[in-house]
Amino acid sequence: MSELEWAEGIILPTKIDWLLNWPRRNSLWYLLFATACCGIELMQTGGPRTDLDRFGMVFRATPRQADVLLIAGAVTYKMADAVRRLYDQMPEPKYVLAMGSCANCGGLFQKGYSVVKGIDKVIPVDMYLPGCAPRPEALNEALLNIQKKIENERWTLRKNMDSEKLAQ
Amino acid sequence: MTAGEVCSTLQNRLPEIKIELQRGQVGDPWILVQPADLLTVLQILKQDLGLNYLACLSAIDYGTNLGVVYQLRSLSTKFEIMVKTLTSKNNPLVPSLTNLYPAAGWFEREAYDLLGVNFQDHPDLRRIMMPEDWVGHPLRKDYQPPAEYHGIPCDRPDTHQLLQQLHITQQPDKVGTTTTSEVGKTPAGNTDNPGSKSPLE
Repeated sequence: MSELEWAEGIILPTKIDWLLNWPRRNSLWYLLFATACCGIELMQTGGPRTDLDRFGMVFRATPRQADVLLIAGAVTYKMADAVRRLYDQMPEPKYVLAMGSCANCGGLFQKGYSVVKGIDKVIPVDMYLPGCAPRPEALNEALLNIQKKIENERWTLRKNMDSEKLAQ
Repeated sequence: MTAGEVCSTLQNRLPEIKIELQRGQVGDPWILVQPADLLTVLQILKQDLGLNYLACLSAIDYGTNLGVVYQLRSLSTKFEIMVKTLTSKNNPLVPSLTNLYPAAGWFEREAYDLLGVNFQDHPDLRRIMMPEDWVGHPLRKDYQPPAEYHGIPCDRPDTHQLLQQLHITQQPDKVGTTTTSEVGKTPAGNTDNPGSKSPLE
């Protein structure tokens, strides 16, 4: 703080991108949504031992207040419509974390008749987290990686970012 | 009481109906009845023999026929018995048990959903697990999954084939010494193959 003392209460030199990304990455609210056993690990991650709250990540019970959609577990074709609807209801900018083998590629159930072979066939995915199920530490790191991704976003070049996202 | 005794009791009560006692290589014997006689037989089993609890109702694809299996239990004597019925696969018609055992409702919906057994006089025979607009009955042996559902592709590349391709291009002893001719064998899309890097990198 010492080098900023001269400007205390008057001025704070910073970059616009950093200023916009700093509060966003420190308040990543995730949707209270799980489809299978990965949800148990998600609960544990939100619990006091791993404690996502210290990174500003708290769960929201409505997609309209959520920034991150965690696909925790296998998604069936019947559920895929609901997942897509939840994703559509989330405000931009939004992020999707495919948690566990089932969400990544169908996992154990990929040869079954009812399970979607990867949630990326339904909605765009920002981060893939392998594991069956991933430990809370792994989920924690994946969410921190989403924070890093947000940190590197350039809002002053938003136009380019949109086209990148469309190309995915 | 044994399954054989139940079978002979039923046969004495209903001499005009064909009731068979069958036995597999393992497990308990079962009573085989025709779908047309099912309600008559189960009514006697429930009201006169005290089998008042439908523990399970499931269906089987035997290839040419579809079978429906009823597991009945008496809550007072703990006696259990299995009743089976066979129906043709092209026109699988079986009477619904919902009037006799209300618990049969969702069981029959499941058997209809996954194996396509048509239960006559069921009050609400629609799919229970698969989406309402799903085509086909997935647990039938001749079931072919659709190419896509609501725009989601249902097929998946052959995993064994993919692994074999990777094995050819990523043999451990060749990492770091791959020549350009071997790089050409790399499957499309796998551009970050570590084998294609030179050792100096």
